Amino acid sequence: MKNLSKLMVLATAAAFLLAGCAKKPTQEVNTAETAIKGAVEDGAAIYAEEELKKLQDDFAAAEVEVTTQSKKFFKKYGKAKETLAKITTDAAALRTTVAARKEEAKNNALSAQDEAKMALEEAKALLENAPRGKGTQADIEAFSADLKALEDSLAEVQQALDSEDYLGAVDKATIIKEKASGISIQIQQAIEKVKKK
Amino acid sequence: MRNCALAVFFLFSLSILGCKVPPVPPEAEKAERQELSLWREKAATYAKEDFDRYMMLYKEAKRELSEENAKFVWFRNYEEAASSFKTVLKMGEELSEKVRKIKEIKRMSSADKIRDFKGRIAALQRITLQMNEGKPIRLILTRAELMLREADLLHQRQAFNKAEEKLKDLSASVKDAEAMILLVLDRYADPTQVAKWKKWAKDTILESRNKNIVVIIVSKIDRKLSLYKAGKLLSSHEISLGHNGLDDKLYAADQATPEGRYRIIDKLLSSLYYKALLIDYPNEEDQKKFDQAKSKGQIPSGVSIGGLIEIHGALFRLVQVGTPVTIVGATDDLNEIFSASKGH
Repeated sequence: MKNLSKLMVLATAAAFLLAGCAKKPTQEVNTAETAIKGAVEDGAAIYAEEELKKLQDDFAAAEVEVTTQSKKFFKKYGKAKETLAKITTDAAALRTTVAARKEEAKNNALSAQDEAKMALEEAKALLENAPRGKGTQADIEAFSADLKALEDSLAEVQQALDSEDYLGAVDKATIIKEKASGISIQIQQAIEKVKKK
Repeated sequence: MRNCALAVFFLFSLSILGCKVPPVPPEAEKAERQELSLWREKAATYAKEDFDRYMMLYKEAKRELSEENAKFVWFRNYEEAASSFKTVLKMGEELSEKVRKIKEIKRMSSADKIRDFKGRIAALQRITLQMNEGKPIRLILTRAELMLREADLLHQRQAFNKAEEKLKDLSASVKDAEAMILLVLDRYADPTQVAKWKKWAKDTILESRNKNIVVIIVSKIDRKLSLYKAGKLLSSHEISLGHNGLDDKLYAADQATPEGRYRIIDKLLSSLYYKALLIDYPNEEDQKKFDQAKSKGQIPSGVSIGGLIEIHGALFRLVQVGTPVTIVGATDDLNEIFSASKGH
């Protein structure tokens, strides 16, 4: 009976020691934080906004859990460690997703750039062949100024591409394409008008 | 035996208490959904300070909840956390309403600006078509039009702050274009000048009526030639002008179109543009203007006043030598340039 009591005291002391000395998962926190930062640097805020928000919320919750546990006598970091490990894995997966979406956006931007260039070339070719005369001179000069402005603006598309602003590049290129197509229609109408005369 | 009974009672109590885990306050989940909704509404963008305060409260409530969750089940008490979450929810509702109002104001403001700029750019583009010399202005306007489209896209995506930024850049471009146009065409926005032109046109129509003759009135801004007989409009014709056609002619080769009251002095069967009606430019008034400008050094040295101002086209058969021709800038106070100068 006496030995049993001694054993119980020892076991209790060991349990206290183990619980009191549970190590704060600083390393895991840092790893998860770095993983999220990596995703942000890759452009997650642009290409995977919702997923990033979820990760950041989970990380904040894990931090609260760590702080709560650190204040307790019996510290249990198991749940926090588990969450942090999942965040790290999810962040790595998110980086892959972001890379894929970014690549897709880049391809879209390049296609849009090509389409804008083509629309501009078409408009320029139409203008080249437009009948010239006293009555059409003003229109031709106006259209040629418009096309020059569009050509200048194509440089902005390239700038956006160079700075990896693919969504911005798509917008700019699409707008240029629309305007160039609109000018083509106007030139065509002007040609028809002259022909009727 | 007594000890044994106590132990059994203790274990029984434990098991009973252990089954009565107090429920996590439902406000916590509601707050989580609310926070996500506020984030999606971009509350941090449109009401940053309020959102920061909200987040501080929300985090504090979550911390309280976490601390309660960390306690042994029979020591948990969520009352304080529930109360904190209720405060968070109330603040969140107010914040959501505030964000909605701010966004609505911004939406309306940028929609108004976009509409206004669309009108201004379209008016300026029409003017540049009439100006001929408007190439540099067209360049600015086309760039402005592209910026406007970008602002419009941002507006449609409810990115109102970004749309506002774009509209600010756009405003500078449109103002530049307007200033450039007015530099060339400020006369068209000048009521005294327009009144003078209107009087010329009115007197010419009166002459047509009184003498029962055919007269021609050319309005440069409207690109219109009107033929009157006995004071009544016979026909209107669309016309083209020279390169600086909206300017008043001052000297040879300035490519401007003269303004004043002239007469047809010859009908030329073959000129550069087929048949032509030659007018008596320069008249006395033109000569006076030329001399004054020359004495002020406003005309390049060695340049003459010029001449051979002709009207080409289908009118050749309809009019005779001696027909009065009045050429004016505009016949309307509210002409395109005036409207553009007022930002319409």
